[in-house]
Amino acid sequence: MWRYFAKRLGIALLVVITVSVISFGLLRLSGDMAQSLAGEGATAEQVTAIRQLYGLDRPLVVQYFDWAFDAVRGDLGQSLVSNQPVFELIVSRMQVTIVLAVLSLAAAIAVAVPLGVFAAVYRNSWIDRASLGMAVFGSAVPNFWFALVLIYVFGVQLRWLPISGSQSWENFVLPTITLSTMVMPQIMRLTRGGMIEALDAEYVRMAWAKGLSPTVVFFKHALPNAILPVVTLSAVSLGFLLGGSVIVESVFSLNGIGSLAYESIRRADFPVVQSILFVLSFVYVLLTLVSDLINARIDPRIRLN
Amino acid sequence: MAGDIETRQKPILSVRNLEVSIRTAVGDLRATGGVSFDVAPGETFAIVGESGCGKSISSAAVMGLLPRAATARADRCEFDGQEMLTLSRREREKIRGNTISMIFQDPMTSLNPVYTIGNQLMEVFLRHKKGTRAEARDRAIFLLERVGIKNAAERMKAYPHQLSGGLRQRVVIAMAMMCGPKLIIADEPTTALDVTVQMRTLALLAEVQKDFGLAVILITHDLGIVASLADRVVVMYAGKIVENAPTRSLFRAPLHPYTQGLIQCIPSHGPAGADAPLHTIPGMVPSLIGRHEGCSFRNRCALARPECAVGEIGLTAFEADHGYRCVVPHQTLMAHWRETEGMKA
Repeated sequence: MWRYFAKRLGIALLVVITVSVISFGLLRLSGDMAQSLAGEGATAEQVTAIRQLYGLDRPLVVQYFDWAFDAVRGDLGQSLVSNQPVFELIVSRMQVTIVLAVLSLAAAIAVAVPLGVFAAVYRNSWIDRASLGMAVFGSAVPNFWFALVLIYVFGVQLRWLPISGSQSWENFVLPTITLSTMVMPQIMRLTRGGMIEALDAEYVRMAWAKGLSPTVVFFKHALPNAILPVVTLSAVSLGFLLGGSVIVESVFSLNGIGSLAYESIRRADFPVVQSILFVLSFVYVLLTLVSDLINARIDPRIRLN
Repeated sequence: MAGDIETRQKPILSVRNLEVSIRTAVGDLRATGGVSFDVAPGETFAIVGESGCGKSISSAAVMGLLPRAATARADRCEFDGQEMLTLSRREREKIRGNTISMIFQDPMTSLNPVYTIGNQLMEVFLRHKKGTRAEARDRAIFLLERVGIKNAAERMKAYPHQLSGGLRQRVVIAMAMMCGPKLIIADEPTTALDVTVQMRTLALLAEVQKDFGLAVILITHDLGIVASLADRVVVMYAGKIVENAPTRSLFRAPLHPYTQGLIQCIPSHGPAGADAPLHTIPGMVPSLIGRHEGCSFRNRCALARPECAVGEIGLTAFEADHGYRCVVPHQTLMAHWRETEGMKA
């Protein structure tokens, strides 16, 4: 297990470094930063001054290491717009997004996994067809439209829930429903597919032959063998949710990381954009690592080889 | 009817007219048509036939392990005095793994890869016996040692992928013994194993069977195994029992042309030795979909005659405990057998 962990950790570190280089490079490739910071009607002198002020005249390698060493120490620079430290800015906006992402994923898993199991067990029954219908709905419907429908029904007509802001837990109900509806279908279908395969396996026939109850057969013997790809998908989905949804955040007026990214791109706030990019890729890598470890915990063939 | 021959002892499993049909897109498939047999306590009872002849599905029907699309009915399907087909799900669960255990074909896949073998052994015991974990553990270690696994206490912590195929099948045999069953159904127990470990595994199964005095139903396509292990044999073809006999009687006087063909197919059979070409039965197993009249083997049979296509052919008694399902008189069948044997010699 420890050898496996060390190996994964090493790979994860390499990926983080590579991603930081790429994200740094891509942003420089997207145009002359000094030019866009100086604005439309700036003179050549003004642009040169800005270039020197932000150190953009130095070689790219020097700029990268300068940025990277600061980043390792938790200093991601300052916003060009508000002059706030980027780190604080991201942390303050990330909180809302984290709460929303974790809630949405938890809700999606809580619905999708049991539904996937039952759809596989009762293949081609009404429950299988109903869950397929839900999956198609979830992936086909545009989330901003679904969000608006939810707001209209539960916020405006029934007046059960607030429609915007992030003051109390009630504000998170509708956004959570919206986002979990988006990620639920894939988790459900993957669980179903894995379960169908596992239910046909000889060890499941053996479990039946041992006189075990259906609950034990399905959840102890079949599910752990079906769940590995679901764990990986869930990690990717969580990364996707943590990236923040600009649309869903703006529909519900939640100031999360998605809207921060959108604002920063619009205002050419390079340090912020660069850092969001880096932090999110870092989170992705971390989640992948965690999902690999969970899978190793479930399947001894992974951790003992 | 020889299928109705009662064995002297009261049978542990008694099956009469078992019919299993499977719904398919192209019509109902009659997987077995009127299978009848008795298994005496402590005996080794072999069911032989090629794949798809209905031998596995018959045992699955007894255990209540049929796929959803299949339905079973029978005049009788009694295990240890209990009618199996009408039991509730819970009552059936109490029998499975407890008084009847199963051993499946592939030990590589019949153990769950994500649990230790200790966990999987103890699980059956804890399910059926009102014992503690410590008792379950002791029983598991005792049985692992009994099936010849060294360092049993250590091995309890091993995962299936850490054991070889032969060892895994030993674990499966130990698992089948956990609750002290009266009957073990072994479905092609050695087909997936290396030839070198096949015989050792079978010898072990026979040894355990004798020690604990339990009955074994051995489902196989390998008559070589049958010859060395079984007390009684039924030969199945296309969902029907075509011959039913004590092992010795079957090899001395195989009557049904299909049985004769199967025996001819054993490579080591007969004195001809290594130079003789391998024997095969020409033709293919007929489709089981829909109703069929007459003998299903007639298209592949050297002795086929017009009567073979007509009506239901019953089992004819050759000796008290030896029956065959064929319209040809047994004198002719025996003559045919001697002739084919003579050709080889």
